Amino acid sequence: MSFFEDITIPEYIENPNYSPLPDFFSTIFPFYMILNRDLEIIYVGPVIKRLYPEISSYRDFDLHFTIKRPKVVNNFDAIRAYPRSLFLLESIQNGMLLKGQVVYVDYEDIILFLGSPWITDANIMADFNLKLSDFALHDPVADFLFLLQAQSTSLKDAKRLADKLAKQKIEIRKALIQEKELNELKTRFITTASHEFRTPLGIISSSTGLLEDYDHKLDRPKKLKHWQRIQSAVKHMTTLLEDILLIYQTDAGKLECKRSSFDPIAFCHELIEELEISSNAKDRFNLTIDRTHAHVDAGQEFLVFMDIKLVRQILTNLLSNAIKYTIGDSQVQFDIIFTTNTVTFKIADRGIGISDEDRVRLFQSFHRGNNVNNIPGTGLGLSIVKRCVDLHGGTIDLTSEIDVGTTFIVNLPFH
Amino acid sequence: MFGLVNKGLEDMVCSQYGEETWEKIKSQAEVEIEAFISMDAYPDDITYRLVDAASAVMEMPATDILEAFGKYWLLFTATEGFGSLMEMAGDNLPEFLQNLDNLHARVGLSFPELQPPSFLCSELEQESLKLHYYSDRPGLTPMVIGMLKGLGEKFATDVDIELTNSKAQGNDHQELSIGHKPKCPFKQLLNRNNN
Repeated sequence: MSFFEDITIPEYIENPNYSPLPDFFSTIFPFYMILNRDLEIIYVGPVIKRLYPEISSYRDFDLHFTIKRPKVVNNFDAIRAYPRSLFLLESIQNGMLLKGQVVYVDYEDIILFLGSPWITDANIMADFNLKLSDFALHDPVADFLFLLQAQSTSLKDAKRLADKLAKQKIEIRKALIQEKELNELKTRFITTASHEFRTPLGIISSSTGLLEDYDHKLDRPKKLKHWQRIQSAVKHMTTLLEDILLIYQTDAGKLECKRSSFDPIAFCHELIEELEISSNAKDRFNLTIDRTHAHVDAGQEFLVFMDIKLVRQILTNLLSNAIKYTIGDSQVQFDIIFTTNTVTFKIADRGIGISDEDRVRLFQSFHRGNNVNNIPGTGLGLSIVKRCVDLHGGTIDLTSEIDVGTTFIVNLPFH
Repeated sequence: MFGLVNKGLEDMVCSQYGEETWEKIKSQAEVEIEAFISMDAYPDDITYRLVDAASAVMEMPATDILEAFGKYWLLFTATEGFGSLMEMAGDNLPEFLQNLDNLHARVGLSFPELQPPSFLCSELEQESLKLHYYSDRPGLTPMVIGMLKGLGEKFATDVDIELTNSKAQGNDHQELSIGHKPKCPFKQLLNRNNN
């Protein structure tokens, strides 16, 4: 009786010489193939039949598969000679790999290929039109896919946790740096504040002492001089406290950018006048204003929409610094350039300059340059400037050369 | 319970209510685990505590949360990379349900400590079947119902689910009678024309 004739299970059991039934294979090896001596695929399992229907029309094995392993020629006897080899077939149509083994059935002179798809990525199953139910239940490939997916998920978990850990590490490092900076700030604050307050307090103490002890001996102009010294000391301390408060407010997020419309040119003129008086710097500022790129019609009132208090802080500090750190009576160049949406303030002095070393910490509170010597200051001005520029959504940059001068460039949006 | 389950619950809460709510739930459930590992096994108690806490924090019945989670589960597992394996389980609802036990059995083989539930189908008719749900974990039937509803959406199938027998009635498992009918793809068009 031939291998391909219909036989019943009882017939099969009665006659142990029969080959296993193809129907059995369908369930146990849904991907099996049977090749004859001419290397024609004469029978295939149901899944192979579904995946490659053209096999029924074109039976040549060579047209459908290449043998990747073992390295044998496509020859019946060559293939049957390796019953203990792992066979890897590759579909010419879609590249799917079938892993299995060959069995030679001598009395039928046929080769059975028994195997199943070798898949290492569940995502390509759909590309091959494979379903879970296509695999025999005993086939470990499906379990292997679960394990692979589990491994991939675990790797993802590990990566997610590593990322989380890295983020936390960065946060901890940041917190530590902040903590360190805060400690340094505290130290600098105590040192600077005690120093800065001691001087005016000393002045107040000595002047009030003199006024108290020598009231009868001092004439009116001398008394007035002492009162002025006291007032000036009080003013200095008030400014210092206001600066500290401003820094605290920006750090605590309590200071906001509150925009309003104003005439920037009139404002700058007034500011310069004020500074010339308060800094005793008459005619020290050379102001230029460029509105050519602002696209303002002639005769039209030019207004900007900015936070006037923040702009005042920025310019007052930069301009007064330019005067303070300039050697001799040289002029400070103050250029204002308007474009359609931004204003650039360029303040150039011929002062003592800022070293590269100091530039790194230039905007830190209470930091002062190494070359300031006896020039009074608190180290708060530029820290305030930077905070105000940031609040206003602008940028600040500088170029500087020791003993030549410094140019600050502040860019602010005015809408 | 599979870490993936707890992670899925976290993902659902975070995506719909925000991370803050999830932290509240974890705190109320007294769960101090920073992150769940998908393929690790956690005591079932953790999941139950999380569901109870979620019920209290979100002021929703626990059964509603479990049902919503069952629906979300399909979406979540797909995003976690199990989508292809799910796709392989069938092209329609009855086929998928018949493969459901194999899916769980294979997971159980690879991770025996996870003790996945078992599902068997019987009384397979053209538009109905009976699903037998076996689990040692009590109270999770709403999650299965949510999952079945989610599958109905996935396969564009109207599902009608009824608990016909249960452990509460002395049975050793839950029995769900499921009516299923593919949605008519032209229904919306027909409704629009009728209107």
